[in-house]
Amino acid sequence: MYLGHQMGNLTEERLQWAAQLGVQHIACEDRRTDSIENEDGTWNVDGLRRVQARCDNWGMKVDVIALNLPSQYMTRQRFPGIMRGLASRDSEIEIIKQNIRATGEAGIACLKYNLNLLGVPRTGRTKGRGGAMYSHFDISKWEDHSLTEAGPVSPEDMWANIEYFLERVVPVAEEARVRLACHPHDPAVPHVGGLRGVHCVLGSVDGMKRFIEIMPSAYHGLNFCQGTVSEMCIDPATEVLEAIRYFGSRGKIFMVHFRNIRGGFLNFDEVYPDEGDVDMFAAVNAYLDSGANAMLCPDHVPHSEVDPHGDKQFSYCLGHTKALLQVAHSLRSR
Amino acid sequence: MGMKIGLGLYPHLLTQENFRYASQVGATHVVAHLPGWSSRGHRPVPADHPWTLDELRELRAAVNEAGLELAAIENFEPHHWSDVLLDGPRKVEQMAGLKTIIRNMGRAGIPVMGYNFSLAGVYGRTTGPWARGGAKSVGYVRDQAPAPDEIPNGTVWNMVVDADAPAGTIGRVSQDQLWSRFRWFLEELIPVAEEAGVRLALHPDDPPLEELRGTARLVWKPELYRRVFDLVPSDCNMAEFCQGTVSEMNGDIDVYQAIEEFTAAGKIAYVHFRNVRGKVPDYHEMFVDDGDVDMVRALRLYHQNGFDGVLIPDHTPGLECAAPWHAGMAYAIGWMRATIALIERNEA
Repeated sequence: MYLGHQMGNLTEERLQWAAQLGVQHIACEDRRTDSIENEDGTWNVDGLRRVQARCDNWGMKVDVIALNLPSQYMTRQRFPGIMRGLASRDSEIEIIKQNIRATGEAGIACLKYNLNLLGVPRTGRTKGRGGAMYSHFDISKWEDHSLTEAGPVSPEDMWANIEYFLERVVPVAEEARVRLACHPHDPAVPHVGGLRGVHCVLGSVDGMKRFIEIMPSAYHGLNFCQGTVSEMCIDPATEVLEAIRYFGSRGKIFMVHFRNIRGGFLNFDEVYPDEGDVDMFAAVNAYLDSGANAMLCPDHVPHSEVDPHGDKQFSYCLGHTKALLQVAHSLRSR
Repeated sequence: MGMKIGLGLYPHLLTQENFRYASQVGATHVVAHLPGWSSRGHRPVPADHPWTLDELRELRAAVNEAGLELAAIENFEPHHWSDVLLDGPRKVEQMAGLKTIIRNMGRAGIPVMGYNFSLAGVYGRTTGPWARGGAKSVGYVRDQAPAPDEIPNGTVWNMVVDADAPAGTIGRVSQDQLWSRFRWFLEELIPVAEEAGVRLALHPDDPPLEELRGTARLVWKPELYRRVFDLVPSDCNMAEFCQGTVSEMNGDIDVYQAIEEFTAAGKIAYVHFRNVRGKVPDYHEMFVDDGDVDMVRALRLYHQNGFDGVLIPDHTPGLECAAPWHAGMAYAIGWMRATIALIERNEA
């Protein structure tokens, strides 16, 4: 396990900042700076090679790059047909396949993606230490119970769309030797009824277990968002460690969003890594014990008026993770 | 209980905004670095006036309002004690001012006064892109150090305290002279500190050379702290243990032995926790996880020997972003916070 950072803006300054912090692996979410994505959504290999070369100058490797399947609400997706089961999904999937092949040709090992309809619902912010504002979700405060543009989406509907997608893209990923890392649904929503009629099947550990069995392939796996997994649990302190061991030992953890929460299923705050309910050092050891070998990225930090771009807080989180890894590795090498 | 993490703040950074930032990144204490507090318009009084009780109380209240504790003040203004250092005509008058400061600190509930008994101060360092990723850091590089010159009259610690001083230099100051002035300083001030409940904490000499600009330096090898503590035995005679500086030294004991010995003796008031590569006369500051010292081992030694005070990053390389100093501090504090928690849980 090693330190990583997910970056949405790969300017030279940002890369240098990350390199100075000792980051040597990144997940790239920026397809603009190096002109990776064409107007029609296809990717060009030159752009992919360019971003790798620039990162290489700073001693960093692009471990993962993001497909244009973000965690956004369905009407903001470039490829909405995939998860809504629309007629456009076949042509959308063709573009995704092309992206996978281009990624393979450029030699990048992994793609991250979301199969998302609802975006990332939250109900507000909680005031935290130093006046930082923690992203908060409390189902009892959720007020919009209207149906979405997708209408009622039963668990079976969603599984059908997920399977349709995976059956077509995973073989391409295998051939291209590119791992596909899917982010679970954030937050977990009520199992009965879902949220606004949408049942987010990747919002439970059972759902994630079913998901990885859909295609028996070493290239089909998870962007293991530990924060999101914590949000699925009644008792994250225990259950998250079990989940890490389960998915880690099956080789399904392709990258990690290493963040912490206070609370759990249907009621939580996204807090700093040192003050949440999950023991982050125990988590590091669980990853190591399970045989996982992936990057730990901070993912989110609280909203702070004295740190609007998050530089200070991300620096804090990376220092925190670095220390946990340093101690964990040194104990194992004794 | 247990080791606490603080942030050192210069005068222009002693704001609610920065206290909030400190809290957010996990610090619980502030060390107020006060030289310059007068000259930047923060106070409408001349630099050589002792800090008043009201000012100190207000400072502490502002820190407390943000949910933090004020752990220490670091450094007298050079104007407060230039003749104490120089053995000049105003030394008795200035000593009275220092005593007033200490008494005021006691009444304001500020428990530690960090100081550096030095004429040349921190002098001769350069900055360069020496840390990881070309991050800017400070260092002492023999080939780039300024040519030895004597200290001009009216200057102490690179600051002009008397613009009307006659031309010429202060000349050479020997080890005997320096220790004699230091003894006088301690003998005068320690009893007042004891009564006020304020600990005086001596910072070692950075760069740790025997002599700089013709003037002797006090603690330039770790074992010299023993002489400091023996000079005037007192619970208020302590070290401002700059681990960074100590690790730059070539002494009879190494930094780990120094941590062990002085922590066990209860002589460390607070710690400057920073890492370095190299030793004097050629060293460069590094990120906390990237220097010559095994910082996990260092923290373990503080812990095992009962240290439950404050550690601050002191200074770190700057990170390439909109807030280089803040981000550098945040990184160090994140690292410290994780490691201290593990050590105190006996997991590291």
